[in-house]
Amino acid sequence: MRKLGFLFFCLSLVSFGQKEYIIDSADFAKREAFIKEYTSSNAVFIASLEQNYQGKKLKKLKEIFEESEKDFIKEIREKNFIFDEQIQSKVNEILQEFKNTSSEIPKNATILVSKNPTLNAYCLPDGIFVANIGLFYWLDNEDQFAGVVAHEIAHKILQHSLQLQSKLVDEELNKTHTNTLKKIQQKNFKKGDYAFNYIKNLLYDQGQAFKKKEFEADSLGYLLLKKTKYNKQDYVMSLKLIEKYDSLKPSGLSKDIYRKFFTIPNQAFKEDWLKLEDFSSYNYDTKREKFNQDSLSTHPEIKQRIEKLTFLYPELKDSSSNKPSESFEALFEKAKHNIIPNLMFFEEYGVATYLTLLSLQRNSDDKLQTYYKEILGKNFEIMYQARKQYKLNRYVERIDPMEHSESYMQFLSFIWNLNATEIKNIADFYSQKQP
Amino acid sequence: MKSKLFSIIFISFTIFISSQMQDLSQLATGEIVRFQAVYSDDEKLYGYFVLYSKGKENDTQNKFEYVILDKNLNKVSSNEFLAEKIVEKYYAYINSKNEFILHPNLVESYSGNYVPPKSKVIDTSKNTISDKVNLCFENNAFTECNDSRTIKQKRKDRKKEIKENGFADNAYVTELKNGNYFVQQANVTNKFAKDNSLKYFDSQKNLIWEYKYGENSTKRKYEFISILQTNEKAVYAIRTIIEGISYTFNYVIMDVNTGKILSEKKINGLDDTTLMALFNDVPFYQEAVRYTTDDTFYFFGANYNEYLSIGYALLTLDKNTYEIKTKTIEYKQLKSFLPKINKNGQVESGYFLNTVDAFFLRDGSVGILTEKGKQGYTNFKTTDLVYIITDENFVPKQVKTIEKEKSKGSYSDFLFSQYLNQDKDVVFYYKDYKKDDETKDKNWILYINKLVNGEFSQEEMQMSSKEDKFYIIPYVAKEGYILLREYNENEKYNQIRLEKIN
Repeated sequence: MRKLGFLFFCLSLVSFGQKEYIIDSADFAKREAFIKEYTSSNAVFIASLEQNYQGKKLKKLKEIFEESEKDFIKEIREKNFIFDEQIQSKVNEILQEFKNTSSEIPKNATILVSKNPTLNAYCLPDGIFVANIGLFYWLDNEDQFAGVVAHEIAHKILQHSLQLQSKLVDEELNKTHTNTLKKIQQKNFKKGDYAFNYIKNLLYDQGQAFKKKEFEADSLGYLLLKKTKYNKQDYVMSLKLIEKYDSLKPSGLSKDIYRKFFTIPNQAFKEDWLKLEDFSSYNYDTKREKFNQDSLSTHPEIKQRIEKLTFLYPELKDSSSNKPSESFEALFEKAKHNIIPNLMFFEEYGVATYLTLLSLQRNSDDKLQTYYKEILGKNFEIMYQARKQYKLNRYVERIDPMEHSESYMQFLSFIWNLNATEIKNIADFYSQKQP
Repeated sequence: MKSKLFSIIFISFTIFISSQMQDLSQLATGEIVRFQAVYSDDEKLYGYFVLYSKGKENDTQNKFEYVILDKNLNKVSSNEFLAEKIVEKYYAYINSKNEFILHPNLVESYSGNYVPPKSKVIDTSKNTISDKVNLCFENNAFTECNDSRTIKQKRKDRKKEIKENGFADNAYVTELKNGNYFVQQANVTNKFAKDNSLKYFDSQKNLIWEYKYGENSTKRKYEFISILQTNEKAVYAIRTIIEGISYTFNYVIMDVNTGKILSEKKINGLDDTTLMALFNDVPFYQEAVRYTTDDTFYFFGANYNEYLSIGYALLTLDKNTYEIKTKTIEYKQLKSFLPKINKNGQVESGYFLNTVDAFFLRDGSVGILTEKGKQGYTNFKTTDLVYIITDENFVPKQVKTIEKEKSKGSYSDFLFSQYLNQDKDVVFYYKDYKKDDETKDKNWILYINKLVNGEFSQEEMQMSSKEDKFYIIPYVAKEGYILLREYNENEKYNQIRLEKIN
């Protein structure tokens, strides 16, 4: 899961019960209904390919999209998406505004909200847009949300996904890479270098092409947003927020929190639990990357995107942001309260535990304390079971001194310093199996 | 033998994309020819070394790429380098000077005349790799070794020197952790060495002292000194005196500042053959296990009588009191624990106890981990593991038999081991191919065995499942952890994990 750093920005004070905000995942009927609708709209999309493609290429493209349909349906059935009336009503309202103002938008276009708590969205070739629930948490208002949707709609209108698949199919049918491989294999020396340079150039070209598409989607997306009732300047504001949260690393958890919450009746706190793993003997500074990460990246730097937009549309220079509507604020709360449950859904129990402790640190309300302690108990229970089965590292990361903040390294050291019995005692205490 | 190394083949990174690209990306990445753990000078796990072979660079050289990972598998450094085409791969280790050294392994099929390839040294602070400069000692001075001679040329030069002078001047330079040097020098013929000398130099290569011996050596009687360790106080060594077919071993301690012999005692109490095996001077069936603590050198192996193993031998050399202790266990002493054992270690229908590891615990007790094995007509067979625990006097006090399915074709199901809690405890791992009682499927099971505070405990972990489509390869990790490389059809779980042992 990328960009989890976003999650550590702030879990602000709340003053109401949590459970009412937890999204009900008993949505079998809604899921199946959506799958039915999706299957038929995707069938129309696949049939529409016949207008532009034929022969082997058409056959191959059909295979690809049928396969991705299966994968997508599998994800839906695995409950990766949210079928919540309040959320769906808001996203439908936003999408409808685009449909009302721009005729290019397919009538069957739908937004599906994913449980992913990060700030991201994407579009499928047939007109399904996936928006992460994290958008409601990280963005300031629905105008910014509409900006993100506008960008994805632009990708769809410009057929970017289809163009990419079409290019890959052309390469496969023309045996572009196979022929290159044959030529390299015939060489006597430096085969690896030739192959590496070929791939490097391909990836860099692909990175460039993707970046160009992003600029195109920004430009068209802005024009689409401009036609709607939403504040056009919030398009740039949403980009600025992405830039801001992208560099965040988990931080802010005090050492005292460990002492406070892990001194329990049947188990005294051990200072050794806070001992940090030592990495001082390594020098990571000379680590050499094989690829230039900027060239590989499929997205331009946010700064460049903003510069390009403000160059094309000077009115965006004076960016200002709208206040969120009440309905958006309600979704913000919903997204916020679902961050930890969603992380647990994605089996990110380490991060979920870190955030739970951060929430306990920041919220003194008795009801909230009780709620987060219950979550703590659940996470420790799962971590105990994983530890017994030698699977904890599936769910709790190893320390990476180059990637993690001091606070997160402290947290990871703490978890890995505990023995299985100690984890169980904590789990039992917070699950109220123990006094 | 503290941790048996075996190669794991896995790809540490992959470059994307379509099926057509897979062969290209494999060609670009190279073939993994080594994955191994690397230990620092204090025997703690430093990290891992991965070596990719990237094929021919030109007519005479191949290209390699190394990746060094820390103890948590984070990338520390990587670089490409060229090597002579006779090098198949390199073995990595950290030497006493804390240098990261790559020692070449030659292509097995290669024969003929060649210049022995040099070791490489990696400077992790700069991420550079260069040829290791070997020091030689010629005409009473340090010099860079002339490494450009072929093996044939070296042999020829040596032969010529012996013919002209009656002997060849043989000197070997050892670089020490403190920057000082030892030079062990002797005049050697094809049969023996004489006029031996041990010279100690400071880091500026100024001679501090010299110890001469072997002036009267003949081919009937000659000697040599092998250094075990040097610290800030003393040089600990074994003097081997060879007289005809008889060997004498002395424990020698010299003052590191003066070269004066502080103590020299003959090692008595063990058969010549046993001592030779303990010092690994001759290849024997059962390899000796050596271990060094701050205070003691331990040498453990089979106790031989006329080349037949009759039990176990333990030699301890004290670094402080210079005391030598030799202790033995005869197989018959194990009769109360293993009623069927005979005097040569046979326990049942052709199965012998093969030592797979030994542990020298802080309380003075020794753990001998053995596996029942026999050579069948077509392949080697093994069954149970047997762990013998001695008291501090090397007297067996407990024997734990760990039942295991019969394995055919592999020499051992033992995987590796690790000391825990400052050498007080130990963990060892083995694998077993077992049938599930319910499903009747046969799968590999990993057994994690701990001996903590004298108490045995065992946990098991499934290493493979045909039904769930996964396979796990375990490997050594930092203290208290195990590395698990899981190949899983579910991409989410197809990963390398470091798991803490319970």
